Amino acid sequence: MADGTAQNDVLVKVEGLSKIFKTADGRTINALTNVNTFVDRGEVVAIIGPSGSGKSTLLRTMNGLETISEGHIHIDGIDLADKKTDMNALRADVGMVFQHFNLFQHKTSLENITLPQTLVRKRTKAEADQIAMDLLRQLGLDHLANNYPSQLSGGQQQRIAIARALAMQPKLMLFDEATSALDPEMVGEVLDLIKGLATDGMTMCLVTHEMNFAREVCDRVIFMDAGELVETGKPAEFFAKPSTDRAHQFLDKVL
Amino acid sequence: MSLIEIYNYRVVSQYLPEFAWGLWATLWISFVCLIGSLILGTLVTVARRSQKKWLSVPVTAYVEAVRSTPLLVQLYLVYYGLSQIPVLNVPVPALACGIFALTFHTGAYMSEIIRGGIEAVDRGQFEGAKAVGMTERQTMINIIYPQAFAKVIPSLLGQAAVLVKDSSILSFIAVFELLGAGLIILSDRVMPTEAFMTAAFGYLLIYLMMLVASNKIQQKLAGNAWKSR
Repeated sequence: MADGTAQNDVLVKVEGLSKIFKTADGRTINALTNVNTFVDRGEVVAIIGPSGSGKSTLLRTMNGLETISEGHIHIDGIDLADKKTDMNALRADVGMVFQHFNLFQHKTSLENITLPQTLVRKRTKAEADQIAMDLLRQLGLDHLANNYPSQLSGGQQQRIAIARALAMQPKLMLFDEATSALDPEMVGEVLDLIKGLATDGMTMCLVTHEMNFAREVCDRVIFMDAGELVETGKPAEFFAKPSTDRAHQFLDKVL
Repeated sequence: MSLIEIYNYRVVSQYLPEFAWGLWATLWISFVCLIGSLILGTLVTVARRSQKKWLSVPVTAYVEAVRSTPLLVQLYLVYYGLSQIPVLNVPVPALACGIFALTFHTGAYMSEIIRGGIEAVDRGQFEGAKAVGMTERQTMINIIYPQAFAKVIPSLLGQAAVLVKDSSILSFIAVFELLGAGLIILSDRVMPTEAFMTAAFGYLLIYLMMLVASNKIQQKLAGNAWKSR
């Protein structure tokens, strides 16, 4: 559903996005240069490319973890570049899953999932507990409710982290190399969970190195290199016959 | 040579009530200063991390000033300085000056320890909290400070032990505490060994009590699995 027909409902719109980092010695690095793209509601988009290509930066600007130097991102009509936008409210609607999970180390799995709900969504403890336990049961993790992150495997931690984001009932889920820090035998359980979310119709953007996963689960692939969006297309076409040399070279290396 | 020739415990035993009072005074003064300096240290840390220059610059100056000057000088400044402020024409009691100076002094060290604890918390904890929509304040109170304090409990207890020993300096402004009890034997009987050995035993006793308390706290925390990482 990425071919831009009239009935498509755009959730994320990226227009002329540039990101310039200043280094300590005063040099500037163009992490993103004039990126234009969109994500439809219900669409699953993989962002791939060599390291340092700006794919993580693109993802992190989508929930304001990085500021926007130039251009605009609209999420559900809200302009992230607008200084008046309540970024905390926006982040509550955009779930983010990190490479290193970033679970709160001093809280149990259950508390990790309930704390953002009570603090940010202002739910009562009982409501938050109910939502958290339902989620944990759905994901088959309810036996880990009272464990601390340090007692869990990487795969379990990442699934709890995804549950924490889902409990906020986000409009959009962002995955920043969610399986890169996992031992190989744990990658599957996390990818299966993400696959389940895709089936349920969750809108998602994934920065990933799992090319097979991107091919199998995603509706569209965005290929980035040197801070530019080089190519975008349906996975079947992109992986079989990329239209740019840069994408071709990259795929030769990773496939 | 028998023990009584080196350390006349019979004389010391006559002064046990004084020493008990001194021990008690040292204990409660230290406790009050400990609580005060922890609160002050936390507030100073919050102020130092502030983006507002008018807040962060003065408290940084305070920490550096305290750390670069002797405690005795600070104590004298408070004790003699306060009486020279025209609005305070009533003399401020020595005990109040002493507690203020010790808290003021220790607070600077506590804030450095707490700041170190915050820096030791993984960057990912800030991002994790930010990404679910927590405000800066919610993040600090719910996520960062609890982890930072847990990381620095051994250092905080170490500083508390220093505080107990530093409290002996209050005898310079005639506040009665453990060392003051020793000074009574010195002036009554001119027995310096008995005076200072007994006081030293008192400090040792407090130190051992703190060690037991510290182990208890550590064990309790180690019971929380997240700490064992």
